[in-house]
Amino acid sequence: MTALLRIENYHLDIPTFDGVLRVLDGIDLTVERGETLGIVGESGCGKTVLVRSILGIGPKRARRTKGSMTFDSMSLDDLSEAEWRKIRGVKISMIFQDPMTYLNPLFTIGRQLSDVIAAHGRAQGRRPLTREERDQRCRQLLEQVQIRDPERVEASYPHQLSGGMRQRILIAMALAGEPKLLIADEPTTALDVTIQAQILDLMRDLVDRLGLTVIMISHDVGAIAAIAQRVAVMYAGVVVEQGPTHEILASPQHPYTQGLLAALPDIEGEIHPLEAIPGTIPNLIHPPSGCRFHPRCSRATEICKREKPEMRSIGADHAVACHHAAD
Amino acid sequence: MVMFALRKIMVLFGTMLGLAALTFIITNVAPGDPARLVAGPNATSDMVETIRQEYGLDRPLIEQFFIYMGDLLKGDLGRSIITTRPVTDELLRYVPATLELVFAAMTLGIIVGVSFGILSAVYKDRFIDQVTRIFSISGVALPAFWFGILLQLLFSVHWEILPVSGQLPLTTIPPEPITHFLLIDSLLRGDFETFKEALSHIILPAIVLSFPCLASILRVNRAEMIEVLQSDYIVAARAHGISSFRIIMIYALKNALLPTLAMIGLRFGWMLGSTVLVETVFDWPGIGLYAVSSALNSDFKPVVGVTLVIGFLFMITNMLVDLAYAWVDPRLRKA
Amino acid sequence: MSTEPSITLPETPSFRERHASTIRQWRLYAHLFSTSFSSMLGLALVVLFLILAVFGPWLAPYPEDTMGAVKLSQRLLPPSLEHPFGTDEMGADILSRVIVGARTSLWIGLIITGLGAGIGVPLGLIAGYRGGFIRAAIMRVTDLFLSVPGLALALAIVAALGPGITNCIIALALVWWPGYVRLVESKTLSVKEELYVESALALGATTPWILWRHILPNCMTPIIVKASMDMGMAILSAASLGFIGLGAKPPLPEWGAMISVARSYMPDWWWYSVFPGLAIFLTVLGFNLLGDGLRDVLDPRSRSR
Repeated sequence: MTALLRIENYHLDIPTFDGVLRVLDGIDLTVERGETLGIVGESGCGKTVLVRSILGIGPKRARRTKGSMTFDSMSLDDLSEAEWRKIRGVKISMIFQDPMTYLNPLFTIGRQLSDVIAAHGRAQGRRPLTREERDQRCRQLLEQVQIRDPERVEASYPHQLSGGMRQRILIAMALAGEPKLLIADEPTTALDVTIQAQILDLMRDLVDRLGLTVIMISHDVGAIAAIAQRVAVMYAGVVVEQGPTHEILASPQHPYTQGLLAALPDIEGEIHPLEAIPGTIPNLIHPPSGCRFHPRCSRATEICKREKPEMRSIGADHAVACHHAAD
Repeated sequence: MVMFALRKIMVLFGTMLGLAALTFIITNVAPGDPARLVAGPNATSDMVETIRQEYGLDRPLIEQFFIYMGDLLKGDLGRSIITTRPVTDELLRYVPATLELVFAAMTLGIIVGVSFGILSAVYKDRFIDQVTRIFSISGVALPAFWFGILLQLLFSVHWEILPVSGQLPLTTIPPEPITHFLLIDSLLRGDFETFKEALSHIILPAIVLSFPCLASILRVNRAEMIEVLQSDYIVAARAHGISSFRIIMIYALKNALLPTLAMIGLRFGWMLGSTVLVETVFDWPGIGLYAVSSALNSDFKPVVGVTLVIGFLFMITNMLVDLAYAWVDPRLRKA
Repeated sequence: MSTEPSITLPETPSFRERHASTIRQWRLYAHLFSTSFSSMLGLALVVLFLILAVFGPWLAPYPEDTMGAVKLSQRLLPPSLEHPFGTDEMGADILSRVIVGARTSLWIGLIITGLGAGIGVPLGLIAGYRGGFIRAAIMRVTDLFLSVPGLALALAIVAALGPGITNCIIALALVWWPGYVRLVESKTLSVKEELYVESALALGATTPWILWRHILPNCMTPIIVKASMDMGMAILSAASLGFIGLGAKPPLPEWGAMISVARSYMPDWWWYSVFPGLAIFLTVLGFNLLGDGLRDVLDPRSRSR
């Protein structure tokens, strides 16, 4: 069975005043139908740029220098705007981090949702929906995300609703076109903890009911652990480790992953000092030679400075990009 | 919304009163004898004394202020020395011509300014953008009176396709007034010849008057469109597959409209002030020309009258802009 | 043998290193500015204007004409090699008068902008920082002055004071200061909430110190941008009043006043109106482009990303 999304050796550069940022340096990822993949990494590791490139809404100046992205056997590289419009929202959809800024403050929810529905209809070449059909679909979508009083919400403006409500609406808008792949860019980061749990529950429910494939990125390991079956860990534009979630959490192999997990405060266990990973994320204009993590790695040796480590499989479905992983 | 509007109207009243007080201060704080100012430079000392008593200028300042305010509320703006007619009557005669010119210029400015602002933002940094940027900056720098003279030289003298000045040719009889706007009245009366004449007369002054307004609207609209087009909700709209046309014309434009509106309001004010220049160049019979000729003849009361009218019109425009703001942006309605 | 602890002192960073970020910032500013055609054009026009203003009398081909001449045999000659801009009704060379007019305009612009900012900036600082009744009072008066469009108000003031260049400048300065109050007041309001102001207060700084050292520097960028645009607009407004006949009076070489006289010689002797007006246009354009370019460079939010 072919994977739904395949990213192969993807390199992305962004030219700036100070030099060329090598934002993505050879990303290899596959996402199978029906699974939920989590992508974890610190701010600046390139996860947002990566997923936005899947939908073609990355930074304007970004240039793909090598590699490719394929969705359902269809190439995603160098598409025209018209071709993108058949994909966005209809085959691949996205939900964003801060629902306040991602909803237009001057239009009612109903208007925005209805426009999205109409746009999908046009993109799929169907005849335009009537007003009643659109309203019906609106209601259906809002109920799907467990909003109990859809009429009131449809007539409201974004600033009149709570954060959790707005995120549900964003999810509803993303699902309007019945996409196969849903990308969630830090969907819970801007929300209160209790609301986070609600949204994650909702997402799990939708995955089960609609058979969605999901890519969720976050720097919150807890959120990832809650819904992802597989996890990829990114650092400075490279995937350093990927595998089943429980396995990575239980026995991380890459020094960065280990450091990341060790830095998490542990409420239940014994009290011990938090371990921070020394150093800061590297300058992407002049990235470190060889393995991009070597300046901060306690196990770095000569080969780490010279050669970029390949992604090597060390178990069923668990792969690491490190010269010393098997040690 | 209603409460909002009512509150704005009250503020308007207050500001008008303040403006009246300001004009009073200007008249009285200015060096020189206020009686002489009103009487004019050709008055004899007897006449000045008569004026002083008639206008109560020998009374204490506070009393004078209340007399002044009382007169204003009655609609009495004094008399013109040159024509000896009441200023209020003359203002009523000249205001329609100015309003017609200003509305024509405003319409031109908004239509051209907004559309080219959008084009410029969407095709940012390409040729059309560079051209409109230089154009829009020149527009504000261009001296209105010089531009008017140039256009007159070009269109009226050199090519002889447009008239030099005035609202209508001297031999044409204006239509019976309904709205007091020549263009509208001539259409309503079915008098197409007069309409064409009026149109050809208004074109040049309207273009000159609209230029800075057009330029500013273009700049603000372009800047706002650019900023809005980079905001998160536009990214989300693209991610949801909404077409670029819809995104630009409906979503982005509405969000960009607010500062554009504010600029329109501001520019309307500048336009009112610029009428003194444009009406002078084109001999347009409006309040601007009235103010200038009065000022040159040291006839002070008409100048005050025109200032008050212009201030009043400007304030109303600002109030309308505030109301429009609240209508467009629901977040402001609580204020 | 005593062992002394060895201390390795860090090397004192050089001037370049210490100010590395500032140097980079100015390099960035200069680069951004120089890559913009319109900004460089503005700079060129302003520099040209300043050269004419400063060195006018030495650059004018007929310096004796500047305050008006009586060479009636040469009146109203069209543009030629001897008189590139032609001559006026008194026979004076228009090019010379236009060149010297730059100096007049420079004075006018500087005084108006200087007075306007000089009154407006302190009032804005006080209004923004003090708050309460003082702020309300200042802002009410400011709003009042702004309730009438500039040129109309200036017209009224000049009509009351009497025509002439001094009164024209006073009137325009009175029209200009409220703009600075508004600008500085709103900037002050936001800056005074910043943490470094709070910490300065906690350390015992007095109000004048805070205003001078912390708040004013943060307002400088918008003030500079506004002042450079205002130079152009002030010159334009003064020329406009001169055109109406209420500003500078002949034989003072002011561009607006020259056009006012030139109108009576239209259309046959067109050069008399056209060239002084061109001078006004280019000068004001230069200042506007310069101000615009400065704003693009100094205000990161308006820079294209």
